[in-house]
Amino acid sequence: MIYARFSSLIVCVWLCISATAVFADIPIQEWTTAKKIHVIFVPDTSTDLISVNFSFKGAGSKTDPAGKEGLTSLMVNLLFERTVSGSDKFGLQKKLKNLGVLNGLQYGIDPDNIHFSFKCPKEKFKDAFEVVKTILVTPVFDAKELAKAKSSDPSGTRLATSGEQEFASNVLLKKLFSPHPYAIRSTGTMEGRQAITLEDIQNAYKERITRSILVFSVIGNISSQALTTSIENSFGTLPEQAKLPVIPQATVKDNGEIIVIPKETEQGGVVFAQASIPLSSKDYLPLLIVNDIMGGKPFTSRLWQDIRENQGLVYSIHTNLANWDQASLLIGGFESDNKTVKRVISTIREEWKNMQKNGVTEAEFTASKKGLKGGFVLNFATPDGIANYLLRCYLNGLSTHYVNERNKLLEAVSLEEVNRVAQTHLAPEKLTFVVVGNLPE
Amino acid sequence: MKYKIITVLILTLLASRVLSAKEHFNYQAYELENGLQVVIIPNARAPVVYHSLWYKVGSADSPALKSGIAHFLEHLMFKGTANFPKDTFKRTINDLGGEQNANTSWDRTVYFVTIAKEHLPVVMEMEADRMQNLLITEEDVIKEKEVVLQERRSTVDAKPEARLFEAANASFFWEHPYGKPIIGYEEEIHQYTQADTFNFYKNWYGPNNAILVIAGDVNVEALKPLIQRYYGHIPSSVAKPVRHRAVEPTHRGATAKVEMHDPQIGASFFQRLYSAPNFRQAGIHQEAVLTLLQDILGDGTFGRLSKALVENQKLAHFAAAGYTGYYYDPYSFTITGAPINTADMLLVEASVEAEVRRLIAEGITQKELDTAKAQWTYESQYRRDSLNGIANYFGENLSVGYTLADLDKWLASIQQITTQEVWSAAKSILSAGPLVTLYTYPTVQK
Repeated sequence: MIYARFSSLIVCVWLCISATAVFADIPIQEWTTAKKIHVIFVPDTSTDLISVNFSFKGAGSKTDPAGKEGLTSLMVNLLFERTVSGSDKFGLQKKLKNLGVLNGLQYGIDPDNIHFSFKCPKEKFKDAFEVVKTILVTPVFDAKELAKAKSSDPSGTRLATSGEQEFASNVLLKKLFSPHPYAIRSTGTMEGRQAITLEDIQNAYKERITRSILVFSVIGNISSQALTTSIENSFGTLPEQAKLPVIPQATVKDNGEIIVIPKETEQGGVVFAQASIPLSSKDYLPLLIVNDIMGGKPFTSRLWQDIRENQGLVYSIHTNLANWDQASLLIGGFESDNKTVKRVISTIREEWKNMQKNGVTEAEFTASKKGLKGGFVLNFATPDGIANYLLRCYLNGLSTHYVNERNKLLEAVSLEEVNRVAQTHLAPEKLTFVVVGNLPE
Repeated sequence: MKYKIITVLILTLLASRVLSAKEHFNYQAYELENGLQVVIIPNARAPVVYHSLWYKVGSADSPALKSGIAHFLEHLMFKGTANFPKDTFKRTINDLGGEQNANTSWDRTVYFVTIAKEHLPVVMEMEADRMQNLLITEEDVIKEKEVVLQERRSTVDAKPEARLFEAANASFFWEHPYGKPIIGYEEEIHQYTQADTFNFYKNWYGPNNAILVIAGDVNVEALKPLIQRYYGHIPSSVAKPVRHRAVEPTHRGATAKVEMHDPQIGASFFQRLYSAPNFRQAGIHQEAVLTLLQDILGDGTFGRLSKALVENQKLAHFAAAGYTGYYYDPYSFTITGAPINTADMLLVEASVEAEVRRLIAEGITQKELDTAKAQWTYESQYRRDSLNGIANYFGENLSVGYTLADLDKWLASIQQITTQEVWSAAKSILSAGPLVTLYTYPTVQK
């Protein structure tokens, strides 16, 4: 394998809007049911499977109360554990699998949203929805299961047992966002999890798993009427209104520091970031091109060329635009021999300065734009890709018809805009690094 | 089928395998005069194609003292030709918005691109070109060794579980090259030369040792002349390359236990590796029987081990089985268990042994068999849902020696299997006990 994107970084479920282009033929249907549940649907007769993605918008881990960090994540986990009396997770999982839901009901919690998804053969659609209903609408929360779940460490919080980049990204988030909730990973802290009671879990469920913030994105060979019926039958009895705290905008404390966490390890894991701009900004697409040329694209980005191809100091290096509802970052990461970590860091800063000062070349600009436009259609090669992309658009406040606009908007971006954005938004002096490794003196 | 990418990290038990009948996939297959096998699977959901070229050579075909050189060559394949010098390949694909990568297993090497359909000819032109015209300079070799060493440090040296799997494989195979890491040993990576790499390329890369699999929005009749134009003129190698694999000697009762104690270990678990035949040795029907045995004993949801250890005794996070009968040479049948408390490691292993003994003594029920079979009827639907899923299914299987006829028969073969067959297979594989057992222990750092 010739490259692997760094895995453990903060990126998790963050939006993948880094793709692009026009694919005008997706027959998107969109409606809100009588029970206030929003539905995005794409009929697709070319598959016998139905892909169902749904999210509770705004109910992610940022809603965890101070001192109970990890609450949302634990609550969602416990939905799957059940027990107390008879009905247990094993029975439900088996039921799903026997219905051809081979991967079960999947879930994920990011700072902003709670996500679920499953995929089933079309003839088992109703039955699968019934099982999902049992899990989500008639939960069983068990004190014993809570105690068990609390006892495991949230990921990346112990230096000794974490991957270097994973631990580094936890430190970086804390550095950049404290005391905003984005400072803490969705799995929370050990102290926060310990403080959570069964009553907290029950309340968190009632306040978050509600209809008015529930949005579905479905693709498959089914009628919109049948889909609405199944959704309403399954989720119609949930409370309508969510009760969520108001989350303020986050201030990013990117002061250009290099934080070193000593650890005996084969090689250093490094993550870095600076503040970025929201998806709604008119500068977002120009910055997307800036990022693409800097480190967004493997093989041909400046960082990849300079640091992997010319200097051979890393196996992989990558940057990304990361956008949450209340903050945006330009982030990156790499691993390198402890001896060369500092050299890589100064190369990154130099590349940052260089692009800020001199912009990008006409050739880079043209190539990047072409690549971003051409690659957009790849998002839609699978049903899951389509459903997921449309859902992301909705959660990020974009119209689902953005998929049909995207490449036109990108095409309209000029080299001058890109260079202006590189100048105003790249901040080499603010680029903040966290290194976990055993650096030489 | 199924594959192991270069990071031979976690548990073969996750490998689910899918094979299915011709009508499910509506593919077309044929062979060019120069021996290149071609499989085309049309799917018009989006104007996208997945182009993959599979070479029937992998890390286990590396010459003596050059472990991992197949993977090293995979890196160098991106270094350019006279027609497309330096990184033209990578740059062109990137500039067109395509996604590209490659990977090497013990048995095969694959290069793949996903791209908007109108760019397919460009991909074919460049991929065909580097099948015969690759340039490898001394400088490329020196630099790329650093990158591969870096990759080895990231994916193996820094990960205790990966180091342990490396050690366990070396104990499981005394002689057969599956005992050596796909990425190669650090000491041997240092020793690669330009000549080693170029010779390996010349020996193994050619149309009569490759399979082209294209899935996506294509018109088969329009595509065939293009394939002929780009790939048809490449001369086949003088002699069709032949794999010379050592036959693993019998271990004659010797067994091994391999342990890793390290604070970086994420979770404690053990894995037992039993010797098991593969599809070439035992035939595809028997491979299908062992696959069902894997499911009945070790499926993560309804398998016996999970039911006993996770659900009932509540001793383990998970317990599962894995069977890799779809490798070119015989590999293993594994049983893995992860105790909730590290201190219960041996208790969990004893419970596993009790389940194995019960299986050997009593066999399986018809209901268990039916549940396992039912999963396979859904698998082909899932496989069809993605371009790379379906293309890789063909590529993985054909590159290790399954025939298209085998693939067409496999699903039917599953349906005919009886409880008696599964029982017999269980007795023959599991009675002798594991050859190797590995254990991970997270230790607390002071």
